[in-house]
Formats: sequence, C-alpha cells, structure tokens
Amino acid sequence: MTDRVKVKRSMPSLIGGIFTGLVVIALWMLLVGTGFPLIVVGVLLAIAVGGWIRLADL
Amino acid sequence: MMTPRQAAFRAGYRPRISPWYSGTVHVLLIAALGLATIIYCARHVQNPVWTDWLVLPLTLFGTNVFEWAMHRFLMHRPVKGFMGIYKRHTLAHHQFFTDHEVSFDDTRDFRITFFPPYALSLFICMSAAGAYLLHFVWSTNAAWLLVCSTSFMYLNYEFFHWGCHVKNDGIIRRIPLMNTIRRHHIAHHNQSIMMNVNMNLTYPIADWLFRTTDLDRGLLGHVFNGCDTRYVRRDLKKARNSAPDSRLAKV
Repeated sequence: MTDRVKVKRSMPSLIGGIFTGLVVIALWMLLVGTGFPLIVVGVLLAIAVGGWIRLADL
Repeated sequence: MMTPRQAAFRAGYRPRISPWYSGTVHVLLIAALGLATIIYCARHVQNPVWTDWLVLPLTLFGTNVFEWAMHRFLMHRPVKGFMGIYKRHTLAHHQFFTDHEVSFDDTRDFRITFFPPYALSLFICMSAAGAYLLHFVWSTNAAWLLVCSTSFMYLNYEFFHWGCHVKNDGIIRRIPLMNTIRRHHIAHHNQSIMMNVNMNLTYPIADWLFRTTDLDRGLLGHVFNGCDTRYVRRDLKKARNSAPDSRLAKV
C-alpha cells in the first residue's frame, strides 16, 4: 500500500480548468440553447468540470 | 520486465496523484468534449459537394504532421515557454512507461496516459480559428468538416494511445492499424531512441515521410506493418548505452 503525499496543485490545472470551463459553457449553449435556465445549468456544469480539473490537478 | 528505476518512479508518482482524480471521469470528459464538438459541427454540414469532402484527407495529413511535430519538437525538447509539456511527457510519461513495461495497471494511471482535457479544449479553439479562415477561402461546409475531423483525430489519437498502453493486447494485436501503432509506440518508449524515432501515434505517415522511423519499408508497409519486427532497423542511433532493446529479443 502506498502512502499518499500532500498534492501541490500546479498552475496549468488552474488555467486549464478555467479555460475548459469556458469551452464547456460555449459548447453547452451552442448545442442546447441560450434560455436562462439552460445557461444556469451550463454555468453549473462548467464550474463542475473546471473545478474538477483543478481539484484533480490535471 | 520493469527495471528498478521504472518501479521506483511509479512508486513515487502514484501517491502524488490527487485523491480527487478519477480515470473514468478523465476519459468521459475528453470523449464528451470531442463528441459534442463533432455533433455540433456535423449538424451544420448541408448538402456538401465533393470539393468540401476534400478537406478530410487534407486534415488527416495535416493532423498527422501536427501530431508528429508536437511530439518531436515540443514534447521531447525543453523549449522555453513549453517546459511543462516536456516535463510531463519526457520526464514523467516516458519514465512511467518504458518498452520494458509499457502498460498501465488501473484507471488511476490514466493521469499519466492521456492528455489533460484542456489540451482538447485548446485544439478545438485552434481548429475553430482555422475553420473561420477556411470559411472565407474554401466553403462553409469545409470549415465545419475541418473542426469535425480535427476533433475526431484527437479522439482517434487518445484511443490509439490507450491501445498502446493497455496490458492485454490479445485483441489489439489482431486489429489492423491499431496493432501497427502499438508496436510503433512501444518501440518509441525505448529510452535510447525516444528522442528521435517513432513520433506518430495514430498512423506512422509523417514518421515515414520525415524518416524518423525504426522501420525500413515503404509507406503502406509502415501503415499496415502490424506487430511485424522483421523490418526493424538495426542501425538506429542510440542516445546512450541503456538497457538492451527488448524488441530485438523477440525477433
């Protein structure tokens, strides 16, 4: 069994997370539409994806 | 069989993977981004004529050279401003996977196998910029087809790369093109030749064209070589004396 060490997150995961979040919301609006509830869902999805990229330190 | 150095690298790398990381989410995210882009662009292609379709073979060739150039000149060279790519690839991916042990053990190893999802996001944006220009000089359909095909080629790249590092090759050895790139890429993971040889990861076209290949045969022979090691060159320049070439033992 391996001991887990403290993960120091890198700058690319922060920039990449934000950038991918923007791409996700753009793709979402292009594919699904731009009604207010849809935009809210798209923003939440983008935050989830971007946040995960940061937390997972990709 | 894994060398002690490779085993030590793996043992040091794995605990540093974030507990939030999931290989399954990583793969699904790449697939979702790629497929969403393909679906959106494909829906806009209307009544294409034959000249529109010409963009497909040109994109196949262009992405093949692009993949080769990125790998040869950025991923294996310490270039100022792109050091992160070099470190992630040459100093991590190539230490984790060598031609002695080329397989991942579980989905957490996808962290070091696949590109991060923002690489695809960047390529989609680059492709969209190219498509915007193509729309003026060629046609609107060609522009949509360009983004479709570049996104498809990216997914193709990641899928073939997975096929190169998956442990059980019982099926892949029998799939044309995929078996070719598996042998081609495993050879590339030999650390004494990795800086200059076998840079393609989809179809070894640019490697054949620019003579950065470990095979001595023609274009079709390269693309459909499969697992055949009879044409492997014996005169390859080696970077340094390292472990023996494990492929040659199998001939």
